[in-house]
Amino acid sequence: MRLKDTPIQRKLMSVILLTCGVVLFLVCSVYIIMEFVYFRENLKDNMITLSAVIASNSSAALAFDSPDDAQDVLNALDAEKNILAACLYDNDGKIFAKYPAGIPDSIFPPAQRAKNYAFNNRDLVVFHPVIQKDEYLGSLFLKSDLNVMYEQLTLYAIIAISMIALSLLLAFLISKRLQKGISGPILALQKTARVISEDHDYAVRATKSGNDEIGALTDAFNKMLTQIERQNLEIKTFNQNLEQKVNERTIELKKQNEFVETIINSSVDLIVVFDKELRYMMINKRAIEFNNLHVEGMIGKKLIDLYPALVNSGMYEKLKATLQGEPGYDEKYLSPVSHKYFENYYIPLRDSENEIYGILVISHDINKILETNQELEKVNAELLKSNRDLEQFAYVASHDLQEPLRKIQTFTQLLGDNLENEAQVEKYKDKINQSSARMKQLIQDMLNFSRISNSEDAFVDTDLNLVLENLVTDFELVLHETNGKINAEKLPVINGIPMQLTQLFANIIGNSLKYTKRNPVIEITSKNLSVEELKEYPGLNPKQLYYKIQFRDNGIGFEPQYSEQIFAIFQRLHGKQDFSGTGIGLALCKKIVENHHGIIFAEGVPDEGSTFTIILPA
Amino acid sequence: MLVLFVTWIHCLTAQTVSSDEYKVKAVFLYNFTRFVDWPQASFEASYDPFIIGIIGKDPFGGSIQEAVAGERIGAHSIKVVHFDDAIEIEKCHILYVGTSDQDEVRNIVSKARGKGVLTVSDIPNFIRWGGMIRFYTENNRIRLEINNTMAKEAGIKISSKLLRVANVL
Repeated sequence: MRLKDTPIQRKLMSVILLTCGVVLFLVCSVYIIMEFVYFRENLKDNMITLSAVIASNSSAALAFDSPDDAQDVLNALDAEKNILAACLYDNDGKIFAKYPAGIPDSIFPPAQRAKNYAFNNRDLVVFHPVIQKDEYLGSLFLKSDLNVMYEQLTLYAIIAISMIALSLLLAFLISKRLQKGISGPILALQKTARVISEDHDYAVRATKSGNDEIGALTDAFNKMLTQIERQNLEIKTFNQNLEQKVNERTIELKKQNEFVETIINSSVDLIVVFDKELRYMMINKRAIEFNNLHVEGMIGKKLIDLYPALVNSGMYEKLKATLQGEPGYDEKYLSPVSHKYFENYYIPLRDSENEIYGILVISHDINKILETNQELEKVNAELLKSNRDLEQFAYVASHDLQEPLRKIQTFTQLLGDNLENEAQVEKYKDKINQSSARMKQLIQDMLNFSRISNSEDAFVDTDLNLVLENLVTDFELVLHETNGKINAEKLPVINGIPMQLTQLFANIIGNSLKYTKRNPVIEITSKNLSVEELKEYPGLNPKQLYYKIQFRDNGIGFEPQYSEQIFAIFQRLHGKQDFSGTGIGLALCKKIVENHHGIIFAEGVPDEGSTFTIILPA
Repeated sequence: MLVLFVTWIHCLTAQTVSSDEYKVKAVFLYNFTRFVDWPQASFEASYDPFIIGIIGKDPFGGSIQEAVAGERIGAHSIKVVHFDDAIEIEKCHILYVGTSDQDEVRNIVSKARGKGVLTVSDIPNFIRWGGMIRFYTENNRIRLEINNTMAKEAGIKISSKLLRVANVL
């Protein structure tokens, strides 16, 4: 725990104990150091005194060459426990006597004539000259052990430490009692403050203990409490008002939000909001349902992370442009995700500082409109066509029907003028009959033609082989007369109206047998329409299976530029003198094939033959 | 110097005992001046010399002269004097008695007695005959025999240190 965080009681005690400790330590240290210095000085003085005595006592021994006596003198050092070694040098510096007796000479240093001393690490050495009445006789060497001093110092240190410990214990006990005078009121004040802060009861007041600084603090604290209590009341009142207002506003906002949310979720359009990073912020109910989304995982995710396919799409470009402040619009947008068409509006969302923070995308589902449009276009095209057909029909019908009528009128006139000429009468009667027969035929064909358009006959599986078989029987006489021939491959069974299909085959075969100048040969082939061929005919449904049935003859053929014209009603390439016909047959064929959702076309080479191709769904 | 050194070596080898012995004794004689206090009356004036006298045979050669050369005792210079008879011996402060004739020694000692003269000799009966300090040899060392009573009678104070290294009778 840091000092700053320790309780004040401990802080006070720490301060007291630390102060006591430091002071005691310093005092003891100074004492020990002084003791050390004093001890050294004392020891040195003692040693010098001792060496002076010994030197004095050994003077005669040196002067009168009496080592025994010198030894006696030195042996007296036995009484001094701290003397390690001693020796006497004679006038020449040679060792004269030594102590203790057995010690080797080598431990003694060379003699010094002057009085001298030196402290070494563990010992003190003293040289003292032996002088008798100014006569230098030799020198004394003493070596004293300092261990005694160190032992003494150690003892002092132990005593000092014990004293410090004892003093600290006493200081601890005393300060423990005395610090209560300071910390007690502070703790009481703190306790009061804590109670107030925990219970928020600002009516509590701290008890004053005296008139010192803490007393003043207590007064200030109590004064502050009074102010807080008053302000609290004001704040509470203010807060209550504020809270009420906030609640009202919250409810209002909630209602508004719900309203907006309801509107957004009720929208039939897909509504999505992106943020600046093109992350989903909001997706409305319609968009979720439409794309079958799991909205929980999408909010906050980037568009590109969820739909990487959109990177190169127009939508992504438009979104980026919208972020630059340019609203976007797609009239017809094909989503690469849902493969549906939308009309998209990209609207930049701006905050109060006019900064763009997101994009609102509203997608309007236009698939139904497009389908309806397509349907309408188709119906419109059909209508236009039938209109055109009708116009043509009306024009041609009026023209072609007028011709036999005019003939009948003319021949009736001629018949009236030449009644007496019998031969002439017969001739005109024949002409009138012919014209009326032709008119009847015309009217019959026109009825057939118009019936096909309005036919409500059911589509059934129709075996084209049977259709052809019946027809060959019908055409037997003609084939016999013209020495003609029909060669057919095996034909398929298709879903169609048998009567119309019979009519279709009859008209094509009849056409081939009619427009010929030699013995007619008709080859009929059939096969499945391959996928490659299917692509060549844009009007066909690519998913449908088709049969391609071809009728090839060796007739008079036609110039290629007439390949369309021959299917128009009342269109005839040749005069009635050359080939008889009403001009309705092939138009009828076209109508039947279209009624069966197929196509028919013809290719011709003059004087060589024609090929009629019909493609019908299976 | 070389000659001296050679001489000294020669002494050590050939005639060691007597030559070295008297060199030591000469030094001892001089050293007595350091351990002995003579009565004030033994000097008439402060500049009077300290006299070391030799009576009888002089065994020292020049050893004493060598030993005292340049030395002083307090204010007093040291003088070595040879005496042929005992007439003026009371002037001496130290008197070495070089004769071994009993009557002669007794005569000298009696003459010097009480006069502040420290009498020194080698002769075995010197103390018995009234001398103060006698040299003798023990374990190859020169030792001292002292009759302190006689010295005290003469007013000569012999240092207790000297007494300690000597054989006091």
